[in-house]
Amino acid sequence: MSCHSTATEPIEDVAPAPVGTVRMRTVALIGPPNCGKSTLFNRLTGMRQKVANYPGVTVEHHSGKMKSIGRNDLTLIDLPGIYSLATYSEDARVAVEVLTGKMPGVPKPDCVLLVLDATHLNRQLMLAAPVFSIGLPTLVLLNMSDQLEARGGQLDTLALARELGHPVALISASQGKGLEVIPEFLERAGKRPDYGSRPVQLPVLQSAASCRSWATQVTARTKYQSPAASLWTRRLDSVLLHRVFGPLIFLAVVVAVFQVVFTIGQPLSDGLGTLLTSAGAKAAMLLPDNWLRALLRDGLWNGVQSVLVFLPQILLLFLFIGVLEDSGYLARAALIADRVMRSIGLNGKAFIPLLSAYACAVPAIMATRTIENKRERIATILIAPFMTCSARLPIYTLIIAAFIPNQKFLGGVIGLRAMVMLGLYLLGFLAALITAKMLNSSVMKASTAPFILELPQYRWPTVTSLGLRLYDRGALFLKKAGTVILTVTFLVWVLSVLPIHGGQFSDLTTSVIGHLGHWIEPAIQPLGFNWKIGIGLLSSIVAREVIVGTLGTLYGMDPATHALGLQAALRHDITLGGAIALVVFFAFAMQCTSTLAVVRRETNSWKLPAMQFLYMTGVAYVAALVTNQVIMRLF
Amino acid sequence: MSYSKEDQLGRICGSMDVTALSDAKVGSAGVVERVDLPDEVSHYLAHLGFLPGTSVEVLRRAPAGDPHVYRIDGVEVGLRNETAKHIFLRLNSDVAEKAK
Repeated sequence: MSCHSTATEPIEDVAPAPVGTVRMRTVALIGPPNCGKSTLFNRLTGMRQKVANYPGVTVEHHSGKMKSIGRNDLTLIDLPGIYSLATYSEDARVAVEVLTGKMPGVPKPDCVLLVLDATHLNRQLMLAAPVFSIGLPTLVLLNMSDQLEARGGQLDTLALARELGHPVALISASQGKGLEVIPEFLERAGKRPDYGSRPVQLPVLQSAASCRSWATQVTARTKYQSPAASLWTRRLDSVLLHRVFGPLIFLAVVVAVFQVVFTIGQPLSDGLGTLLTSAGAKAAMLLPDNWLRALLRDGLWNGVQSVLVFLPQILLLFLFIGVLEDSGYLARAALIADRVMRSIGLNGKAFIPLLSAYACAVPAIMATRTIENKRERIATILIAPFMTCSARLPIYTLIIAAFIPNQKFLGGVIGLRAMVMLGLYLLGFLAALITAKMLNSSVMKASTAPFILELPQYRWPTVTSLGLRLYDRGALFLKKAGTVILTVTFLVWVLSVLPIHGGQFSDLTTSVIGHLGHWIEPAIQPLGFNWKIGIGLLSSIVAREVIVGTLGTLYGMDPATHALGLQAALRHDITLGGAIALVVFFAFAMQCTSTLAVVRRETNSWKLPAMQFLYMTGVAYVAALVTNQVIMRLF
Repeated sequence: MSYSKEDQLGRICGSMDVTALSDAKVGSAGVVERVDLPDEVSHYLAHLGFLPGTSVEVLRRAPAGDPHVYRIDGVEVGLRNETAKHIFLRLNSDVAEKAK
């Protein structure tokens, strides 16, 4: 078997007149889903990649310089994974527009790298015909050569290149084997734009059946032997999808993920927060005590901090999701969870993202990318922030500790405080459930897209792939969410120190935000909140946990004892009804700029996060109002 | 788009061994006869291999009973019964015998 080299016909006799050298700039990377395209993209571009959305659609646009193979002058565009160029899906429409140079802001590619999974060539070749028909110089990369060999498959690249009329090479993107053909191809394609291509008979492109029979004929003529089914996958599935053990293992995995995110992630986040606060305070000592110091420390540094403390949990969650996805278990988990998720109008793939939302909605919303169905993806994004994320815990614990007596029932096994906490978790879950049901029965009803789940072979996740994924997601969060959060924290800070009286900042009560707090007091009084809580609510639009700090400042307590002092102060200042209404408000309200920023990014629209904010705040207001009024009358 | 008439025709006139994929037992195998789904869906399924003439095997069911996992063309695909009931296959005779 001639592996790892470009197998092509001598082109001299086919392509007559040599054309002058063209300056190539853009290379498109295309392939079906699960063909290992992203791994190859990461291999070729390394860490230097840009992520953006194509104008007007939710499809992501990954591009990067091909630095790893020494072609810094070439930009590689990673197109969405698609089975065909028939424009049923948004992804395919984007791919066609990019390939034909009709996508605004994206230069027409000079050549194409077509990645196909060599272990399923009959099926994967169906994409080759429409891609060839576009007429760009194309290199066919048959990926997963390692698996093909290991499982006894066979492939004659030379014969295949002759059949396809384009150069063909076997590679293994995950092991980095055979990639040297790519710079070789680019070199030659740059010299001769018609390099390697010969006219061949293509099937009727719009018909899947005709593409399929063309693909089957090609593979038959080239004596392609598909590899045997992976024995390991069968064996593992008979346990992991077993009627009894399957769900048990699934639950164990879920509990383990949760446990680790909370027992390791939460202390890491808290520790990082403390570290950053003291670092900020120490650095501030070096500056003269003036407005600049206040701006840097209270305005900007606090903003930076509120973004950074999310990182440990986000990275941990993405590590888990990465391991689950790369190993192939995520698809099995989706299969097991599908029956339950279906009852709320979602599919099994929504389960893991929604679970992640219990730690933080930000990675959860980023993880919805595994849901191909756009409608269900949006629905999942909309309900994820109702899950009780860790940022709600500070205000929950504060209010519970201050207002709920430490009573035990059933011989000390169940505590009243724990029950209230559990109740708040349940509240968020129910809100998500009801919202999902509502979305399903009204706005997003007309869905024809069925749940189709490909179960990949089990594989060991590679460290490189996991590392790149963490880097990618982490950097994305810091860049996109970071800029929005910084802006908003800065604005809140400015509002909390203006107007300036005689060269002095206002304190919180006399500042613009203080006035706003007073101004909204009539609106929140029925909820049992006073103007101080009002200011807390306004300031916590940045992030939920901010309210504890704001209330601490407002009640004018010594920072050393403020947790204890704050509880007493709150008991003096608000009623039981108001306190419970406050946590109920937080169970529902969208008090998180990071989430809004990520929703904006992932859906490429302002409308959705705006609607989500209004809806969640509306629900929160009504629920808090009812809570306060009921408790007021009962006690 | 309605498929109900065709469904009935398939059941009445079709030979005994043509059955909906959702009715095929775990372990049985056959050849895809036709796919009665909207263009968009059948196009997607076609690219996974669900085309007339391709052999398919019912591999296992999810723990909750639905979806089922089918092996088609070397790939394992999970489909809900609501989708699989619109895909028809001709059961391989030896397996069909066993199923009875």
